[in-house]
Amino acid sequence: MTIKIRPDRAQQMLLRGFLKRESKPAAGLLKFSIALGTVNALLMIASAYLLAQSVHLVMFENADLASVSHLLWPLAAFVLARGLLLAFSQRFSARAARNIKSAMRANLLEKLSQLGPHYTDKKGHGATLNMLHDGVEALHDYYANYLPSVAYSALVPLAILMVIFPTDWQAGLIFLFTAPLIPFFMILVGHKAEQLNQARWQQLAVLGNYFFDRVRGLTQLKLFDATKRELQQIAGISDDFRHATLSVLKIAFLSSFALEFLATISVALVAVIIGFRLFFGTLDFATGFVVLLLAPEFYLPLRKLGTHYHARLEGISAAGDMLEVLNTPISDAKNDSAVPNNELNKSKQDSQKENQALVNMNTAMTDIRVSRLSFTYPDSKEGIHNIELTLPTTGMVAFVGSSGAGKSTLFDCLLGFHPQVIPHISVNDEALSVKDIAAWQQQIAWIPQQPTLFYASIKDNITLAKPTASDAEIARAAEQAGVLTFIQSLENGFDTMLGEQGEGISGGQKQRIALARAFLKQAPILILDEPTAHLDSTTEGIVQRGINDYAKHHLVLVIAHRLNTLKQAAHVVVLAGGNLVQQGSYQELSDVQGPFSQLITGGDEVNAAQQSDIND
Amino acid sequence: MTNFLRLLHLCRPYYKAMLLGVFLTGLTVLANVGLLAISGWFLASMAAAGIAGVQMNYFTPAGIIRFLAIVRSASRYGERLVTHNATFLLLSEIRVNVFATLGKLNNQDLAMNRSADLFNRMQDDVDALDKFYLNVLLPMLVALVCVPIVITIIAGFNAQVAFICLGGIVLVGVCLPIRLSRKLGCSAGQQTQRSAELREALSEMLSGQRELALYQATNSQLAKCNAIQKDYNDLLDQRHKALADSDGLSLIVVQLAMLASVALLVPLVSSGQLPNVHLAMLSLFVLASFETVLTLPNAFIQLPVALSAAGRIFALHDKLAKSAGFDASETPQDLGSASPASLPQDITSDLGMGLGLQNVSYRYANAALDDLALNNVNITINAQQKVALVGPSGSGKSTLVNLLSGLWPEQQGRILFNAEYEVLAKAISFEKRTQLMGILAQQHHIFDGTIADNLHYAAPEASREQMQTACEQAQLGEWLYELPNGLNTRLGSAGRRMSQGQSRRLAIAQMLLRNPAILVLDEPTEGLDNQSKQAVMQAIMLAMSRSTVLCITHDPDLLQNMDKVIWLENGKVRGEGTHQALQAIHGEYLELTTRF
Repeated sequence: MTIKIRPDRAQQMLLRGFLKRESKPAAGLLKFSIALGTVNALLMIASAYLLAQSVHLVMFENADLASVSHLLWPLAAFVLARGLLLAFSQRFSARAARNIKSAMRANLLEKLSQLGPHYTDKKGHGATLNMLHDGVEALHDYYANYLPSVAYSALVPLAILMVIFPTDWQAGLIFLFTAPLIPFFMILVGHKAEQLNQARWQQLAVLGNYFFDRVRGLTQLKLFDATKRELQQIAGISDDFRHATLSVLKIAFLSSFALEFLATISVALVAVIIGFRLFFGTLDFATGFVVLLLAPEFYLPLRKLGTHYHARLEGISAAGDMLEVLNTPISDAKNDSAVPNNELNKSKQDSQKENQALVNMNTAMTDIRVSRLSFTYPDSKEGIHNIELTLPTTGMVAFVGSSGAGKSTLFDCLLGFHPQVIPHISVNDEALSVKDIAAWQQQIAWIPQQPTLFYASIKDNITLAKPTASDAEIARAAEQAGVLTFIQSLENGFDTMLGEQGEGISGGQKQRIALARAFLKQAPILILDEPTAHLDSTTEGIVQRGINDYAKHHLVLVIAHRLNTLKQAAHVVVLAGGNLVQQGSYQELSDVQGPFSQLITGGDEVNAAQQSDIND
Repeated sequence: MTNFLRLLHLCRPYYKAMLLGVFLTGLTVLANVGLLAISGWFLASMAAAGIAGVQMNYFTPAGIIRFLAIVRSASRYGERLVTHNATFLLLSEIRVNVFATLGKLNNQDLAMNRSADLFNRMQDDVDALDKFYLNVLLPMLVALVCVPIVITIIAGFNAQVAFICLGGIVLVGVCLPIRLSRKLGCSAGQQTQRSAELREALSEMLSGQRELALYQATNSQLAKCNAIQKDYNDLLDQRHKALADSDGLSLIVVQLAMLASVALLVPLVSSGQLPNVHLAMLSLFVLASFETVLTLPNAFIQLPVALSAAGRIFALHDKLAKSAGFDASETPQDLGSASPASLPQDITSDLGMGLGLQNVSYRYANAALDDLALNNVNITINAQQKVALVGPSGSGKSTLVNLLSGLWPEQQGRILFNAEYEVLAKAISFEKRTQLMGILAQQHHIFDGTIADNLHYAAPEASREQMQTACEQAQLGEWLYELPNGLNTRLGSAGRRMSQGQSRRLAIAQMLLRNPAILVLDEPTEGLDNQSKQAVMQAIMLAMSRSTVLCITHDPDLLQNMDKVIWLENGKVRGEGTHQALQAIHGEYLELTTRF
């Protein structure tokens, strides 16, 4: 239970429209389901006629069982048909909702992967996950229950009116007289009650949140010795909420009381008026009885609509986030680029040639250069400025800098996650273009600080980049990463399932499996962010050796957090405040007084950060 | 069954409100049944009287009809208020009960605190129990009261019809729902499992977005998500089909019961054994009698859900009864024997207090015999000494903190507080222990509530000035002044988002307010930028100059300013000395503490 700000009426209109458009994949099915439900209502009306007629015949025309059997048998058939219709109508509406949900989730996933990781980072991992999982599930009741009940609340009363009028216009008039109450009810339920209902759900959510939040922080409360105090607090708050909510409910229930009262008293009124007309002989009993049978059915769909109120609210508020994701233009990320237009155009024109260049790059990448690379996040001051960098094709290049120096941003740019700056990277003297990103990424293997292991077997996790790899290749990659003996010691070996649902493995082993994954790809460039957490020294040693070996024949770019890594690197690049402030070999950099030596000695590197911080 | 009885026991304090709810709900149902039956009878009688041309007293039945309509609406309103009130009362009872249990449970039994999955399940369990009265108990009691009344009245007219009606009611109200709930129960477990799988696949998709793109595996992960979604949907489909079928079957049973009654009564009417007017009334009566079990199917579906939820919640309670060895709120009984020559309640923090570990070992429950998380650790920290604890992951630092906090039970060795005389940590109450020793854990919880609320948890008596000062010392001053509501700013999921650094600093402010004799800090500067890191640590050291500090850190700046560094590896003390000394002797130590 989380509290969300409920959308206002204008937004609700917008979102309802959105939800209606999204129902397209199953619009036919949904309509079919509603059609079946309507046929069910029509059969209900017909059944009422048959029943009333048979009761009338037996009561006043002295008919016996045999002479009404021609009415009762169809009635029985109708009952069976209605049962089937009801079941199938509900099945179909559930299936329609399922189809819409599936399509929505698939669309959202695809859109999110198109928008790129930065969009997810910005929206928040947890919030996005909730939208994809619970949010999409919340649509089920909206489509399966709420939408059909809206249709029925219009169709069923109309059908009843249309059938009643030709039979007995006076009875029809009674319904017509009570019919204007329906829009009145609608407004009553829709307006005032909605606000109050919202208040009620929110109060409940607040109460739930408070409680579960305290449970989550229980250890904290224990350490503060505050559990006893909190217990009283919870009891007190529950009680306060009970009083507050009940006073809200007193009013919220009034509106449904009015609705119930009007519906019930209308039925009673119809009964009494018809009774008198029967008494004075202006109506035959069969018709009167039909009207009595149909009177409650006339109001039923509307009363049911009220029970699906919550489904509606949940669906609409869930839709808000989805609309936002689906409406974000993909080009958005590219529009805020710092790239001059002519450069983009140029690269477009050259794209033919570029593809050519990439094929060449596959065989011989002789020169990788980064020139005038700047990137700033639209909503923050952090970024990188005017990076000039020439990279060798083999060997290890280490990047260092305090947190916020721009290392991760630079790596995201190099990895192609900010398409707008990709023309600032050139291979063999040819600038890359947006179209080349996929081909460029094929040249790269990457290990982040905290690698993601998927809920799949170890084997599938390692072969992520190369599903066709042979067992020998996989074993070799695992061996290079120093994780082969560990995997073989597991009961199921390479088939052991990983992830929260599977076997739990330590951070060090995770890191090594990710390394095996990267080694298997045998990409010309390996980019990695060293873990800051202190792995045990054996793991660190193994990982270090594996990477050093790889660097003999490939280019390895590493965000270094350890002294040892720096010593191993052929070239060290120092970043501060988004600028490249120093580069050279470890020895060269250590020999001079500068940002690097300050960083290493852990002295007052505050100055270094301040000197170069051009943002402030 | 025992779970059901225990649940009833929980309801006992509120039986008056609950029974009133049953009474009003029953009244609503019976008024509705009466309204329909009497309307039918009234219509038939009026028609009969009209045809026969005889007078009849139509004022009374017409009045009764109107009266029942009013009774029905009014009792429905009252019923809803009363039942909701009872629900809230029970909700409060259950939550207080659950919280009390959890609060007393030893932290190792609280596996839930470590697994999001278990926590979510408990959340669902409590939610399910909240509605136990409204969804389960109320419909059952109402059916128990109303069905006999309705059936008896029908039996007064015709026993066979009553029999048919009872059969129909049992079928619709009990048999079909039980069958349905069995069906749903079978797939419910699988459904939770699949739902969790889907959540995980989606979560991986999001967190691994970069890796998937680089390894050209985005599409295969998309396909995997869709495949899992399909499996999950197939299960949901089964559920919805079962529900739809059950609804269809119920409709057939209700209508056929009515039809059978009519078929049974017609010969009686035509042979004159039954007044013709009764036919119209009884057919409506039978139809309306099913209202008594309208909410019963849902109750039978919810019952197993509520019972298994209750089972899990009560299991926590039972665990508490079993692990009576540890109790957060009470003084252990072995007080006299365990602490030689000391009166634990007298110890004060005025003179400063040291900390000692003697031969402390710890082994996790499912670890191998020789796999010790802590292996014979001996540490002595003098009063007011500032000591750092260093070591790679898995070296036993967090285990040590958990043992010191008293949240985990000690296994071997002794933990001592040293004042004028030595005091066994075990021998003092948990309450006293939390007063003496402040722990800033790595997983720090910021509560939903205002900043002041959060600070109050740490120090209930702190004044607003003290809070303000503590926040300033923790380098939160500037942030606080910029907030329009100051200390009254809401934090947590419903309030303002805090960065990792800010929540860390708030935790430090809490510690400063508590001002304990011994302060244990687990990576206090994690997530802070360089400037505030130094300012915060200076503030801590200044404010805690009279306290003993044990600080887990790898930050060279901090290590330099410590009186002593203890270097832990594989659960053992690998080295001890000043930072400079250790650096000079051990290359490995240098490597361990040099990070940027």
